[in-house]
Amino acid sequence: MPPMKLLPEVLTVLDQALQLEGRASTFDAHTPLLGALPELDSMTAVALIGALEVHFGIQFNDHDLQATAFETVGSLCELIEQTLG
Amino acid sequence: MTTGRALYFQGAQGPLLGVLHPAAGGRPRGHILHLPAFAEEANACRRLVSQAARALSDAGWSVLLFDLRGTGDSGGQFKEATWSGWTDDARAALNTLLHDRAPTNDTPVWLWGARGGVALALELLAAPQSLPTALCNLLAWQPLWSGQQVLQQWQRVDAARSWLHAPSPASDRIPVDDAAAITWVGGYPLSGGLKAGLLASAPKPVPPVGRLVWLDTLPTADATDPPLGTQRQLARWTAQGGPAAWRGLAGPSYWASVSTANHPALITATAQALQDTPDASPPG
Repeated sequence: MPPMKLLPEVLTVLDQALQLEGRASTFDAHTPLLGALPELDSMTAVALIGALEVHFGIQFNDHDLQATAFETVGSLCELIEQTLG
Repeated sequence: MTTGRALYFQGAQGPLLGVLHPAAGGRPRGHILHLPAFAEEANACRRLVSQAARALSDAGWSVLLFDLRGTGDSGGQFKEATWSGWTDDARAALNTLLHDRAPTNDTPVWLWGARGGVALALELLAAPQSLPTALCNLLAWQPLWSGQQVLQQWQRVDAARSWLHAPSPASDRIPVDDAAAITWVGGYPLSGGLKAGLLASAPKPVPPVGRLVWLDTLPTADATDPPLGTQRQLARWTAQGGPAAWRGLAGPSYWASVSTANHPALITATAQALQDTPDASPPG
């Protein structure tokens, strides 16, 4: 089960960074991202990464930034959790 | 509302297109040179930068926007661009804005960088042949502080592209050790010279310059307390340069995608921050 603790904050950042205009409020941990969300392209993915870094005060290791981390909202939460330590 | 006037001026390697927004009311209260974001981010920022330039010229500033060589409507091709060439272009633009006169106390000069344009501003300020920089201030929109950080962003775009599509062929990815090759990043051809220049552009000591106004746009809420990494950068600035102020404004990621999203809070905060005299309290 993906960690749910960060979910609300991640959804807020996701919504703003991808300009989803509130649609992220209907997402849950199982919502698919990569390939399912038209707003998520290579440019906005990098903006999302940067926004998450600023919001959570973290610096992702570029080796951890893989497609699998962006498959679902839950996998993204896991990456942040892991980076937060 | 003032309107911009297109002009061509001579850059390091050829003509560059600028748009000058003259100060409303005649004599400018100061001069602002915009140093644009790079590649796709420049296009994404263009609309908001133009809106801000108009607001600043209405507030009495003389503002010059320009396209770096190989971008927008300036001469050359992106694949010919080099880091040192862009630094020279920025110097030529500053000379054009100031009519080759040195900045004075009466009319402050601001370098207004967006994203990688901030790294270029620091490169310009650190260059010994630049104009006297002690009177130059820095306005930073969502800054990247070094060429290395710019390159990291591009590498991330390249990596993200491979998540969405078939992985790029090896020859199409950024080789870190082949300075001569052209590589494609997010649809832009990156010259060996530009890549090498970016790699060599490490975070540098802050030159002894004037004020820093740093405006970040955050995905969630407004903030006045900077994050930890931001605090460290601010401390580096104040140790060497002048006063530094940071604000986080809730708004869209305007540098990441071309959209019609407006960000009036950023334009207002920009005009307010620059309106303060150099000795005034920082914004926030």
